[in-house]
Amino acid sequence: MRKKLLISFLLLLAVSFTTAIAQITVTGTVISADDEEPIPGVSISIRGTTTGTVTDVEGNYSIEVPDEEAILEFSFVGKQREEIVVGEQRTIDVELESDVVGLDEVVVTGYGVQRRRDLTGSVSSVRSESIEGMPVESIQRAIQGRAAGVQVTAGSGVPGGDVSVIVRGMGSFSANRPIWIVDGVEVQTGGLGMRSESESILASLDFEDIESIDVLKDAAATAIYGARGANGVIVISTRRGEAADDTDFTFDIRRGYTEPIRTMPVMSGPQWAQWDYERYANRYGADHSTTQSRIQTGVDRGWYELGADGVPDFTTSPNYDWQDEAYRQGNVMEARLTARGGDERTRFYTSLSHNMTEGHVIAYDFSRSSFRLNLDHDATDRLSFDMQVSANLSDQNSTRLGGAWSSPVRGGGGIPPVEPIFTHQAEEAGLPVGQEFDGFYNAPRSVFGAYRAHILNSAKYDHLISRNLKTILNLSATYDITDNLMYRSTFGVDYNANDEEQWYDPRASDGHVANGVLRDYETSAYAIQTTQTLNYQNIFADVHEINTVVGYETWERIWRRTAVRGENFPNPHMNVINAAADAVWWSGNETERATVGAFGRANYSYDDRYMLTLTARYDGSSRFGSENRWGFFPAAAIGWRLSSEPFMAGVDQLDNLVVRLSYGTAGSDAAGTYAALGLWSGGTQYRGTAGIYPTQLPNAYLTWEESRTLNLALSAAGFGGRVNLDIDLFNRWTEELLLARPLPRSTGWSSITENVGRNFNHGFEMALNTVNIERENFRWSTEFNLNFIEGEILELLPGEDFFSDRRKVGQAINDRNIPMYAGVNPADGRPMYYDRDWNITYNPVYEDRHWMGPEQPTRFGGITNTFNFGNFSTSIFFQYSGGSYRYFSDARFWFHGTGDRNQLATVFEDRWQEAGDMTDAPRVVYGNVFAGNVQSPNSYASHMFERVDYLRLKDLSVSYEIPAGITQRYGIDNMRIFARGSNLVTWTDYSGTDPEFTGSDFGTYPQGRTLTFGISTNF
Amino acid sequence: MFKKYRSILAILFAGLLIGVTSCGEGFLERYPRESIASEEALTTIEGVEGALAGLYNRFQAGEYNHREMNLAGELLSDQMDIAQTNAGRMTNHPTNEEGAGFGIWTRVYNDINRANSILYYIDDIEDADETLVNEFKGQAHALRAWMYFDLLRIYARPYMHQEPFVQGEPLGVIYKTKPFAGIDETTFEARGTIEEGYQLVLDDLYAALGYLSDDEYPYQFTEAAVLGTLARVYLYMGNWSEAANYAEAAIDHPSTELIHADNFDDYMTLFADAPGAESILELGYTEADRPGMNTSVAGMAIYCEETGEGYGDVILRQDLIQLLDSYGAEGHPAGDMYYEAVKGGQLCAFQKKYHSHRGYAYWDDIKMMRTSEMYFIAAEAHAEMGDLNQAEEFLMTLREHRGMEHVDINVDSAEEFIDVLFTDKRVEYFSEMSHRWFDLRRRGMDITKGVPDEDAGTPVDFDDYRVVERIPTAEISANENCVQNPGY
Repeated sequence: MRKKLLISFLLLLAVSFTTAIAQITVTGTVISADDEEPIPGVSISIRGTTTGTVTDVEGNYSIEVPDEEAILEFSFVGKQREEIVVGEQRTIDVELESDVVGLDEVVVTGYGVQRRRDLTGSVSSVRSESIEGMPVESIQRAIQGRAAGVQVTAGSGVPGGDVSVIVRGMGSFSANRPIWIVDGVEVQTGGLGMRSESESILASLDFEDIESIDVLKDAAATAIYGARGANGVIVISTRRGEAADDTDFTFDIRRGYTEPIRTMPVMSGPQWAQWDYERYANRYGADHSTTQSRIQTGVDRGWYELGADGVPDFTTSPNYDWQDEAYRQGNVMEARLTARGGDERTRFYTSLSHNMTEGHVIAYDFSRSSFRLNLDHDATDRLSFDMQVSANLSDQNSTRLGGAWSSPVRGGGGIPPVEPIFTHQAEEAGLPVGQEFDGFYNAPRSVFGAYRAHILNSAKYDHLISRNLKTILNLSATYDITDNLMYRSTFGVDYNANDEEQWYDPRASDGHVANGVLRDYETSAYAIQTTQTLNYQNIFADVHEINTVVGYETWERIWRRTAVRGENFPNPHMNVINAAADAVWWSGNETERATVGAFGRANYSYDDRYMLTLTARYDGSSRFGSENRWGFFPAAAIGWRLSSEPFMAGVDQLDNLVVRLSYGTAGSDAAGTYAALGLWSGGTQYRGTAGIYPTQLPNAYLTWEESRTLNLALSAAGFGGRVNLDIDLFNRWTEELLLARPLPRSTGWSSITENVGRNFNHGFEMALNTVNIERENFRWSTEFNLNFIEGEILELLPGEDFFSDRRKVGQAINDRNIPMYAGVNPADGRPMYYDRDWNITYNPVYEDRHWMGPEQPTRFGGITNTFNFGNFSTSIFFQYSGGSYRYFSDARFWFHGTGDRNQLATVFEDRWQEAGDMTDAPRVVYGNVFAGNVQSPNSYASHMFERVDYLRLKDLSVSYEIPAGITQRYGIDNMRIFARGSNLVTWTDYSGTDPEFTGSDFGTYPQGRTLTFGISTNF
Repeated sequence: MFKKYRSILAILFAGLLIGVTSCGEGFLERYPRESIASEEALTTIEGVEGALAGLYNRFQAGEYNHREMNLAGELLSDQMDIAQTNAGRMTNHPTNEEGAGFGIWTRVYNDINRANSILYYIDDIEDADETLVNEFKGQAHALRAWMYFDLLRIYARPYMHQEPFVQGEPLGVIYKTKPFAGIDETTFEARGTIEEGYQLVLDDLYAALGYLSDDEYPYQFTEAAVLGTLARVYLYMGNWSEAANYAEAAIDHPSTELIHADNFDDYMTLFADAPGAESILELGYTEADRPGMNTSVAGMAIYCEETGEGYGDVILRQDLIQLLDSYGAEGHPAGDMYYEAVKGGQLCAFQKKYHSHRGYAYWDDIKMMRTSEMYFIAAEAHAEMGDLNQAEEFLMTLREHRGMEHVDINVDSAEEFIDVLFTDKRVEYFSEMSHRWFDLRRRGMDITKGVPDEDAGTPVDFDDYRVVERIPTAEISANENCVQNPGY
């Protein structure tokens, strides 16, 4: 009885409490100003509170407001925001105008959202429409050239391969990758596999599930991520369900064809034969026995026939095009099915997609299956849940990779084109056939030394399979404690498993000696994140608006790998470890890391004119010594909206004009996982006794790398929302950079990691979005971004301005100190070099080296023009990059190489032949022996670097929307057909395969030129 | 209604719980599972045993005692060459280009630091078995002595011929006998004298002799191995009487043996058996750590057309082939220890001593010291002491065991005798432990390059700066107290 009373009392209290704060009910309908149609899913919130609702399928809504002073905010993607004071109205109908430049777009800023116009920090956004249907596998590739301040470069064209994303330039010697947050959970990037040339676990995410991508760039934006924010933060939100009577389905199907942008320009058969002859004749003399014996080899091998004078007749040389065999036409096939819908209480978005890519290099393919379910449920007026589940399975198949001679790209370019590919060719040429498998002809080892490899043989029998499973699970509960105070709790799991199998078949060159080699790698990485936040917002006295968040987050990650190698198999079809006679190697390890952080952010705005943001985070990381485990990262930003000032009232064309200034810090725990500890490790042995060995010196002082950013920005919008301009100027100092201080080797150690370096980057970013023409049946809009960036190392080890040939004070990170090539002496064909004073020398010594750089582009960006006319629309996207110097590392093999490999055609075509020849390609001499020269033209020097500038027609698409009148007869709401081409044209002087590749060209899989056709239906 | 609030409370609690449980002090304490903190690693006798196993594992690495110590000196001297068609490894050695050498500085100091750690910590272990402590100390001392001896005979001038040389003071190497202290140790040691270095080596060897038992297990340092090493060190020092004493002590030691090997099969047991029939010290692999193609003698120096095994880059010089043929004609089984094959149009000769004898490609155990070396040392020492009869007796005993009992040594002087001895030694030890290079060097002899050929390289005078190897720039640039060898 007593209990019942108590319950009744509590109930009463609860009811009165809830009713006391919701006194007025407002209802209404929201329609689109364009077509007067109702808009479902418009979010309506009471300004300064966390309370809100959404419109139903008829565009109707109902909301309870505390008093008549309340201001309702109506917002919807692609529409301009509307604010209305309730006053005496009880029914408020609203028409929303189109928002052409996204001023009122919501930007996800990390633990909260803000309207773009209210931002004090620096954030670039990519709209989902602009990347829809891109024929690429990964989100990183999709955003290339589209976001100011974000520089994306593919390391190779391998389908599903890893891509480097750098925000505002390289600032660290150790780690420059931004962190990626998907629906509030930090997800792991990079590759998990061990053997794959390039592989990215982000590629297993279907980027078409993405609603928005926001890149947080300055400290005001990233400091909330504290110790992880120094290299930028990329925040991704996936699509969510909307209330609707009928569930909305889309079905997309696409088919594409790819071919390599360019193959390596190497010599033809006759060129190679002549080059080979000349290098011997030039070295030893035409009549010398060595040359004569080489000629005999050439005749025996069918490289040429002898002419009447006993000199090889190169017109008789064969030409076997190995590269042609290495490449093929690739195919891309993709199908996606999505469904979204729900009622007012429960909404869902689900998608299922499958992508199959057959690479344009033989034996390479990629496939991905993705599934996603996003659910939102309002349990009560105050309590709601949301859940994201995604599971993605991707397979990357390939053969021998990169630098291996049996790799199709490397071997295809490198095998001398006078050597037959197939046995029948050898037979036709009258060559002895002894070594061949299945019609693939191998040159005898006695001619080409140890490199006996046949790319087709290897492609047929060897394989490398890399399978990724990526699942992100994310469950959140949100509770409105009062109208102004909201609590949110998130629990997220990011689980990644990679399964790799590399097989060297006994029938191919690499597995021949060991009678089959199998490597198995199982790698998993899972991260668990918990986040608790409290959000408070309110408006005082109409002009003081505050929006604050405080929170607490934990994150831990466990990584495991088990690997084994077996050799000697009874039968090539029995290629699992159990069938191996010898398990010859194994390995297994686990590492853990954890971070804990408490954070807070306060946004204050006075009268919509002056804005202030204060952010701070206090983070701890398991990576650092107990002395230096915790770090504090504060930031502050101010903004002044000039357009709201009375003195600007007369400028009608201006919708918004804000200047912003921010300054703050963020960190990076880029050190190794156990970098602070002194360690002895196991895994070694002597005759069966398990051994240990010292692996790391302790450094209890080890701590965060820290970046400080000063950002000055201007945002302007005007002409009825048709022009939007963002300009950012930034200075970024990264400090306490981790650097391995070299130790004298006599200590038994080579280095110890310390926090010593400093780097400075500064840059200019501009993003300009315009609607150039807007007519009844025609619209032309442009998105343009432009970036300039420069970097400089400020400090290295104390008292020293030089650390290595890649690190010098005053130079950018990764610049190179190298011998400078000066071309060829026209008198005798010898390669020349510059000495330290830029005089010619033939024997450059170390001190003659000069610095060359930067490695990273100093300017880059993109421009997209979109035209809509009637049912047609077309979009043209150019991407450009310039100012970088790339190391063309294959030049070591392909530029006057000393072996019997094919060479760049220019080595032959441009070679110095007689006195007076002006060229950069030296005389060809076997072994590169030039009297008086120590440095050989195939040694590392500046001619292996090229300045890289390029402009690329990255994407061109044309689509046609079939008139609704036709489609609706078949129950289809709308249907669009499209064709698009990617990487269509590249303007560049670069001589390697692709100017985009960072680092090197060492047998790298070239990117593809792709043509795609597709149909997208909505019903 | 109440139900509703209960669910809210549950969420709040769950959130709090997650927060509270994960903010405990332990949450940020993460330690590796494949490693142990350095302050704990050597506090048990098992830890020391493990550290010693780890040290032996490095000691037998390809870049030290396998490929490098066996082949580098053979290429630098007049024994071996690089084939015209090659994979680009060790190509500068045959012509003695600046910088071509053994390159073991970094690796060996890392190993010395381990030996220092063992010796530093072992006495603090509580309740340890005395026998094990002595055994491990003996091993660590012997290993350290061997490594300093290697450093001295590569990076310092020969003990017996410190002058005349191009320029500069004769210097030894850097002597460290304690483990590196870590981040707070910021001043680094200079090089000591050659004399100090040899004294350190001898001290360590005598210490080892005191600790080690007369074990017959040749896969680690034994009493016999230390005696043999002492003989070798005294030989390099020109201390002939001690060299002879210790060589004879090693020969007389019950664990050593000189077998009659007058045919190919018997001779092969020296190299293919595990352990080798005459091994005083051998380093042995298991299936798990056997060497690979790039770092083994076999990987570099065999060539098999059928299986594709071996780079076949290191080949025998013509001089050596002729020598092997002539000894072979007299009955020495070494005459059969090479084979010929055509590679890249060139007729090449390849050694057979390291030829994947243990059943896997490139797996051969390393013969660090064989009994016959003691006979060479004893013979040379006695000859130098003026006792030619005794010297000839040792050399003839060796010849008798190699099917050459009928080939007499007809010499009139110690000088002539040593010429003969050196020729015998070339034949017996080609492609093993770079004996030829070190012998020429320690006796101050010029390095000829055999048959003159364009690619063979020009002779190197014994006082050429390249005879003393360059100290790696990584040492010089990080240690301002370390002086580079003259000429570099």
